[in-house]
This record gives sequence, C-alpha cells and structure tokens, in this order.
Amino acid sequence: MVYECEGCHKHWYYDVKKCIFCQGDVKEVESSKSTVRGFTRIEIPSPGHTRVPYCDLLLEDEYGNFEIRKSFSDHELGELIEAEPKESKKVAKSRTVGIVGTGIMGSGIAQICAQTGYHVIMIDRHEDIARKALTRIDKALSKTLKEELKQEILGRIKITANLYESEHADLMIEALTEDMELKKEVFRELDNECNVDTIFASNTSSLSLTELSQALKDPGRLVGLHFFNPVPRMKLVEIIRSKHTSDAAVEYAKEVAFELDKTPVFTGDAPGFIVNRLLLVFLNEAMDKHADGTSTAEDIDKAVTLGLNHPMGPLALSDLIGLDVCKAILDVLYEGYKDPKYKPCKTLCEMVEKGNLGRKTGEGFYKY
Amino acid sequence: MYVTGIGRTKFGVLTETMPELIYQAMYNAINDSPIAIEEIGAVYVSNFLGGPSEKQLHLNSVVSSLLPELRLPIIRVETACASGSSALFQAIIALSRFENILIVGVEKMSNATTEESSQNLGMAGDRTADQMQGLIFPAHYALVAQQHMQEYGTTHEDLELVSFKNHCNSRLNPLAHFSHKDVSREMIKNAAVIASPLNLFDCSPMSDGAAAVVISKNKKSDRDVTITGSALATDHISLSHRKEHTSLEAAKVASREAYELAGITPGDLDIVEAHDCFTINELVAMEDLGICKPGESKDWVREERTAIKGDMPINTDGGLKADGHPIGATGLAQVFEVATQLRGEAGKRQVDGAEIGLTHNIGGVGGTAVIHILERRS
Repeated sequence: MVYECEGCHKHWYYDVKKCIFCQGDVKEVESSKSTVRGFTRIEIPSPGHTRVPYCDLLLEDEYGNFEIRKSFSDHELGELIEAEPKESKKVAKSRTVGIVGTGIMGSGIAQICAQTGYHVIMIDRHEDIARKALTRIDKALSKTLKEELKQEILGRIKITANLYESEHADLMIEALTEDMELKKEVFRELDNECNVDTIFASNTSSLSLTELSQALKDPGRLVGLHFFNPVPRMKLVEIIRSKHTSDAAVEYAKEVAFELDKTPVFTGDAPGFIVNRLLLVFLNEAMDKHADGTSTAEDIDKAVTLGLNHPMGPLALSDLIGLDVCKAILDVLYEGYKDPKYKPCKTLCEMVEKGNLGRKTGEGFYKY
Repeated sequence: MYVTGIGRTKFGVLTETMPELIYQAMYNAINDSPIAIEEIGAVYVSNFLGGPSEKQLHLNSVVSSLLPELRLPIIRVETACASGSSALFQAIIALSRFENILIVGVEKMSNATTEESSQNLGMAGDRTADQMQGLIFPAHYALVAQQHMQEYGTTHEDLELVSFKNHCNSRLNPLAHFSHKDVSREMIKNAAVIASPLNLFDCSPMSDGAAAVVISKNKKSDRDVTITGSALATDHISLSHRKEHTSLEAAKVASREAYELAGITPGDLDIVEAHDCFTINELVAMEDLGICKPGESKDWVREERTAIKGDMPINTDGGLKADGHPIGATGLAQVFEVATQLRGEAGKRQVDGAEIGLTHNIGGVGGTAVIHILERRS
C-alpha cells in the first residue's frame, strides 16, 4: 500500500499518518488495477512458503507505484490484474450471514465472518446475551487489531432478538445447543422469514441433518457446516451432505469455507461425521484405560501429547469439552451405529451421574 | 554538544508495527526540535531483538524507507539493553562530521510469546556459560540480588520499596507502560516468584515503544540541554567470568569517565535515570555510580531519599520497571526524561530546580554500560 502526503506529495509504504517533512496529512493512495512488470517463479520452499512453485510478481499501478505480490498462478508481462483488496475488505462477494445462537461457537463464527468482510446479523432470543457475545468479539479483536480496523469489523455486526431481521441473509447458520426440537422450531421460522434462495446451514456436531432438514419446505437447502472450537484458530470445517442436500448448497458452503480461510472436508450424514466419530472413541478408550487403575490421568495425557504429538491429552480434553457433552455424543453414536465400541464407558457414566463434568464444575479427571 | 529535540511513543502493549513506532518517535522528536528533517546529517537506529522477534533486520534501511529520498548515512547499533545509549554514544562521536544527528531506538516485544521472549532476551548472555544452563534474564539478576543480600543484608522488602516507588512515579507519566495501574505494597509483596529471590514485581515488563533524540554540534534554542559527559565501558559477558558479583565494574568505569568529562562529582547530580531492568539493579546502580557507598543503597531507599521529593530522585518517569522497557528505546527514553526534567517540562513529576542529570543504561548483566551526563544551568 502506498501513502502520499497531501502537502509535499512524498510517498511512503507505511501508514505514517503525518509528514515529517511538512507536517501535512498522509493519506492512502487507492489504486484499482496493476500491470505485471516482472515476475519470478520460486521453486524452493521456505518457512511460511512451503507450497512450491509459486510466483512473485512485480506490479505497477496506474500511478507508477510498485508492489510485490505472491501468486500461485502464472502471469504474463503486461497483464492487467485487479488491485489486492484491503485486509479489511478481503471478500470475494459481499455476503450477508445470519447466525442464530450466540454462544462460544456462534460468536466465533460471527467474528470470522465479519473479519472476512461479510455483513453479519447475530440473533439471540435475548438481545443482552447477543450483546455479551459482541463484547467477547470486541475483546478478541482488540488483541491483534488496531482500533480503527476493529471498529470497522464490529460495524459490520448487527445484533437482534428478531428472526425476521434475517430476511435478506444469503446464508443462515444455526449454532444453538444440540436440541433437535429447538433447532427444528428455529428452521421452521427461518423458512418463513428468509428469501427463497437463502442457504441454511447447521453447526450441529451430532444430530441427524436429514431429520433436521424435514423442518424446511425444501430440505435441499440445508447443509451441515461444522466449525471447531476456537473458531478463529481452528482451520477445519466439516461440510455435511444430508440425504436431501442440493449440490448448490454444498457448493455454496465450500465457497464460504474457503473465503473464511478454512479447509473444508466432506462427509455424509452419519453420526459424529468424521472428527467426533474418531475422537469420542479415542476419549472413551482413554477414560477406560484410566479406570483400570494402571496409569494416572497425567501419564495418559503425557503419553498422548509426547507419543502421538497431540497438543492436548484426551482426559484434559474431555474435561475441557465437558464430560456430559462427551457422554451425549457417545450416546448418539451408540444409538446410530448400534456398535458396543461407542458405548460410554462405566467411569464416564459414573462421573456424569455424580455431577463431575470437567472444567465447568471444577472437577473431572483433574481438579480446577 | 546539545540535545536539541526529544520524542517518544507511549510504552506498553501497542498495536503499531515496528516501522510505525520508529516513525512516531522520529516525528515527535523533529516536531519538538527547531531542526527540520532535511537538516539531519545522519541517523543511528538502536534495536535489540528485531531479528529473532520480528524477523526484521537491516533496520537502517527501514529507517531510510521512512525518510523518503533523503538517502542519509544510517547505521543500526546493538549492545543488548544498552543499545539506545550506545547509539547516542556513537552519534556524539560522529558530531565531528555532522552538524545534526537523529538517534532513534525501537523495540516490538508483544508479538512474541513469553517463552520466545525469554529465549530471545537470553541472547544478551553467553551462549555456553549462561544460556545452556537455562539462566534466563531474571535469573542473572536474581544471582546478583542473592549475593547483594548475603553481603550487605539487603532484604526483599528493600526491593519492594524500589518497585513501589517506580510504580508510583509512573502514575504521573501519561506515556508510561503502567501509567494507568494502581499498585499496592501487598500486590508487590505477594507476587509470583520468577527466579528467587525476585518476583514478578522485581521485573520490568515486555514493552513495545520507540524513543528519539536529536543532537547538534551547536546550540539551537533555549530549550537545548548540554551533553557534558558520554562514556561507554564493557566487561565479560557472563557473571561467571567475573570475580565481583554485587556490582557491575563496567558501570563504575564508565561513570568515572563521564564524571571526569563533565567535571562533576556524584554529589552534584539532581536526577538520575537508572537501569532498573530488575529492582536490584537500581540499588547496584546507586553504588556503582558513587551516589552512596557499597551496601548503603538499602538505607537510602528506606529513607525515601530517591523519591521525586527526596534529595536524589531516581527514575522519575517510572524507570524500566513501570515506564516500561522496550529494549532498543530504553536508553533514549532515559535521555528523554532527563531532558524533560532539565527543561522544567515534566509536569506533575517535575523535580524542582533540576540542573544536572545522569542516565545509566546497562546491556545484559553489565557486559555493556553507558553513562551520559546532561546539564542545563540557569
């Protein structure tokens, strides 16, 4: 980006704001197109640039200012290319995304959508809960962004308690608690309020998407879009196709995932999808191993972090997720597949019964 | 030789990038000075960890980018935590060739994790003698504190008094890292131990920030401050390579030379900016500078003689402890404070009638020591 002094017309490549030569204001020079004046194809990888080959282009804009830009496609000398959108305006298309449910997942999704440049409508039955979620996003953004940019991003988020304010949303993402009836009720209402071409998505991690889609007049409009906690940091999104999901809805979800800088994986509508099916069997096994009394919780977690290179051990992770949540997902898996390997182990059932649910109650496999 | 302009940014956890911080400090110093940027003949830029922390070296050319079309001679200076004063020391020598020189110091620390920063800061110690033994920086000074306590009966409570005084002073300095923070004696006493006997409140914070100073061969205005002493001395990098562990020999050597150049004695000083990267070092500084005899610094602190209202005010801006310690900028921030005091522009923290001030800037655990003496006599 180029900045120019309004007084003496000197140029900077940093946002210096005031001119050290004449005290004039220094403003950004916005260019709309650039011409390729030079390029090099890089064949060897380096940290941060492991995917090779790639090109570095020397671009000249309409004012004669140059910049270097990385590209994975080849370009020709003299070729005209569009200006790189500003960090805050990086968006392929302007989209409006409604998010129902403003818990940890809902607010995480809202944050990355707003950062990507989407207009976001956060909906919660209680507006003050939505307001709290907005404060959470504000805090998260404050850690890394300048005030100005943060305000611009927050300015794209609207909070409301009314589902009908989502009528013009291009995409509605439901991120409520795992309650089939509640979710169905919300989708029935959204079906009435939203445009006919709105795509519906659910962030459910365990419920049947096919059953959920029955709440819609056209079940083909619902796709699973399963994010992971913490949403801004976790790269993965599971895109789930129910028995009825249309190709258009899957394609739309894929486009959004890429724009949000996530990597999508695709799966059908079977309990646990990919991640939770594998994870919960693993967590269940770790709890069972702990129950046989031959290893401490610390040692099991240490074995997994150091031996398998996981960032966190299974028992600490179970405590973080919540043991009641772990059990609920295992119940869904067991019911869905009818295979005893998914049956919640005895320790887990006992701990849930006792009310030792992990971090949130102060005690699980560890004390907090 | 004169300080003809001073400028700095706020210190703390800031969102500005390293180039933006450098620019802000330079802009403020030029704005404060009667000298225009075009009259500057050379620039010295001081920084410690731009390489490991920010992946940015070749800072002299970054500064050139910030001063378009001037193509000045610019050189980066690095002597760990004494980088700022070392750059000033070099610039003063270069006044034989240039009429006006700009010195700017910068550090951006908040982008690295605490563990990365611990490792990076460790680079100021010897690779094999210190780093390989896990002697992180608080531990270097913890050993000095432990030795000082054993030799002179200094207590942790004395260190708490230093920390408390500096935090109180920073409340009067709107640009300080902890200008907003109320700190009590209990908080200081009960803080978590970092490296015994030092706890969190014995340690300076990881700050972002920049500071800049303009110096000139000839006097430019009535606000100018005269540089009467400038000296730099060095020593073995590791404490373990030395026989003496309760004082820093380099600081004694450099201060003796600076006093001689200025033609003053420690008793003439009105204010001192001491390098309290860890509280113990403020006590050691008082003894090394000859302000008091070895082992007596604890008595001065107990009698509150180093408070703003005392007879020997030290670290009126909050010191490294509470003004902050953006390493490459620290030595120049000390000059900023002394010049501000001598000009009588220090507002609520003004020391009445201050005419002679000293800056004491240390690299590592005394491997480098730089002393400057500034005067403005009425």
